[in-house]
Amino acid sequence: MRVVIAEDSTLLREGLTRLLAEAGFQITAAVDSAESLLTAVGAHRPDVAIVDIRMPPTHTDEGLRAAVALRRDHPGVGILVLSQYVRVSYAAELLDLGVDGVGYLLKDRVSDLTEFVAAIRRVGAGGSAFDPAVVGHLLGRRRAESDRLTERERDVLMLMAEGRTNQAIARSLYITERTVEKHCTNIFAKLDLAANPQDHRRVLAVLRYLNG
Amino acid sequence: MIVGAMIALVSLSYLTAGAASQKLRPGNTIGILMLIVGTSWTLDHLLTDVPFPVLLLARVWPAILGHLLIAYPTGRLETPGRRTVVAAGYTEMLTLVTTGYYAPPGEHWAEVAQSLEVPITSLVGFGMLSALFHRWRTSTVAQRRTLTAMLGASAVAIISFALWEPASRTGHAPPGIAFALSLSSIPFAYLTGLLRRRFDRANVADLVVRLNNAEPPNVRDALADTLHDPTLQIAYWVPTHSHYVHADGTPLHPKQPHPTQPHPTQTHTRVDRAGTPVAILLHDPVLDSELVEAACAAVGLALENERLAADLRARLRQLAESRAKVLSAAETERRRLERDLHDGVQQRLLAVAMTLALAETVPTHRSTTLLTEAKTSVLATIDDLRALCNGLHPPILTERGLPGAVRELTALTDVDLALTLDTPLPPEIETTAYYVVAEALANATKHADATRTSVTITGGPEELTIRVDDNGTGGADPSAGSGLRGLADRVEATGGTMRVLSDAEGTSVRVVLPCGS
Repeated sequence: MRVVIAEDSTLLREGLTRLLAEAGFQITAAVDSAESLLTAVGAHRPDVAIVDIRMPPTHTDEGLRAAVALRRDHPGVGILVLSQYVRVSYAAELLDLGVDGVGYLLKDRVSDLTEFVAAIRRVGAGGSAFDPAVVGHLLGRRRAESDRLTERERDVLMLMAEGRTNQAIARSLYITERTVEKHCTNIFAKLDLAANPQDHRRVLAVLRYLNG
Repeated sequence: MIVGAMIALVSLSYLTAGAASQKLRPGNTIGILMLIVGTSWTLDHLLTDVPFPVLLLARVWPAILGHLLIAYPTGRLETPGRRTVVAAGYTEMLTLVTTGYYAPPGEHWAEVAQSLEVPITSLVGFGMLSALFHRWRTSTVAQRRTLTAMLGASAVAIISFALWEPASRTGHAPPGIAFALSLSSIPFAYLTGLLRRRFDRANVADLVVRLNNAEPPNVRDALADTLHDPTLQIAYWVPTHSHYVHADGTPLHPKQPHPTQPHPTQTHTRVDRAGTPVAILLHDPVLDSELVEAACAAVGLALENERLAADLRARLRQLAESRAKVLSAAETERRRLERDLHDGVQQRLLAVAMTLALAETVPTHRSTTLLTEAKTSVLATIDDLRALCNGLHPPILTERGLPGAVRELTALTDVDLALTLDTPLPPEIETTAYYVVAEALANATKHADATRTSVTITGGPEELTIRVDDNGTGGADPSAGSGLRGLADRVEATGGTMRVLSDAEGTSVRVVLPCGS
């Protein structure tokens, strides 16, 4: 899988490059600004662009704006936004791009290589990866609705909202895929969600619902 | 001939002063007492061989005069001491007249009674003098202005009266003219006091001229002089805080009149211009209220100018106080930060370095555990740093400015957000505005159990207004040392204002921040 990295901190950029190369990714470019990111993506057509939010010249939200531009110019490229902080409003803005090939993770997640690599692969394959902290925030907001769910169903919902497949959810909760499917059907019924719980777009339905 | 003229002078002076008093101050008994003294004195010197009731009326004038002097200027006998001394005067007169009329000549007890006249008169006179002296000592400067002449004349009259009888018995009677003059000086002093109010009105007109000539004009001194009250104070209205301040900008704490004290030493007169308060005058209650109002009307414009100056001084004072508090809070914050960085981040990273050093030296199967331990430690350090950064300056403000930051604040709650912001804000105003919204929202959800909250932010060319309303249980009070107090300091340090209206219906936090250049 081909990856472009945009991160202005040299230390982190080098670290990510090393880490991902080790994990079997092909790093086609590692750049330090939003502008060079757009050029690099145009030149290399990677599967995923990993984008830091704060970058030169203003160190504010360049990464987010670059993500919007990338989606517009290169809709096929997956975008994984990395951030130092959890921002529900940023997640909402990314959701507006759709959930196909979109991810939003805290930088801390690089510490769990297995999970991090899985998230990049998901985004690269057109899936999604939303940080558990963001999902937790959203779920906390919908306390009244999420109270109707059982504890196990909430666990499944969290993992589903993060963008994981049923197979991954089953593995992570030590249950069978069939049980996961049953939980999903229950969740969608309890939350009154119209989407098909087996559809890959269910993440969008769940996140939009939570953020609504 | 001279004696007749003297008697007539005393009669006339009392009758005239009495009549004038009845006309100028109809409710005051002093006028009636003056008239009675004049009548009684006249009868006493015109008639001989009269029936007892007439004799009683003719002889009673010294007691009435004593009553008058003690009751001056209100006409009332306000303390038990004063009532006692006046009653003693009446009793003495009644006793003397009665015994003199009914007792056969040569009767022993009657002579005893008559011989007691001098000591008793001296005693009563002394009592009256003490009462007058006490009155003078406890009176205010403004009161003394009307009291002094009257009390001086009274003292002279009382002393002459008390000395008259013993002096004439020993054959050293002073000339009658002296006694008559001392007696008639009382109504003259009284009349002067009455007419002085008229002169004072004329002085008000000079006030304006005086203020125009003075450089710089001092309204307080001019008013104190014109109203003859050196204790006079002026406090000016500050509309933004709805309270009065002194000319130097310090807030006014009105002294509550003591309930057991019959005469509060200060009263106040409010000065309004075009329906809005300008100032209040704190002055002696003895001042004629019409005179005070006339004087205030004359200096209205000057008062308004002084009010603006006092308002400015109050703002500067508050600004300085808030700045000092914010600076000291910043200093405390820096110390806390240093401690957090030193005790937290540095120590943790050192521990990580040691763990990693250990991992280098041990066999591979043991190093894995150490590496995991080091990673956990580093992640915890990152968490610490994130919290520190959030406390230093909200990172979202850096990334998104006020609109984005407020949206993030309200993203997880059901808040009606109305945001109109066209121009970029100065950084310190943006940060202050952010903390206002954050603190008000935190109060609404944490302390007030609000179910509905609205945030309205409107940016203009000159100022930014923020309003956070909730329907919670109220109880927000910036003076109660909550987070709101620190917030108010922060707001005031930027030159803005913060008002908190909080009751059982909910809380409204209203902040105006200056954002013009």
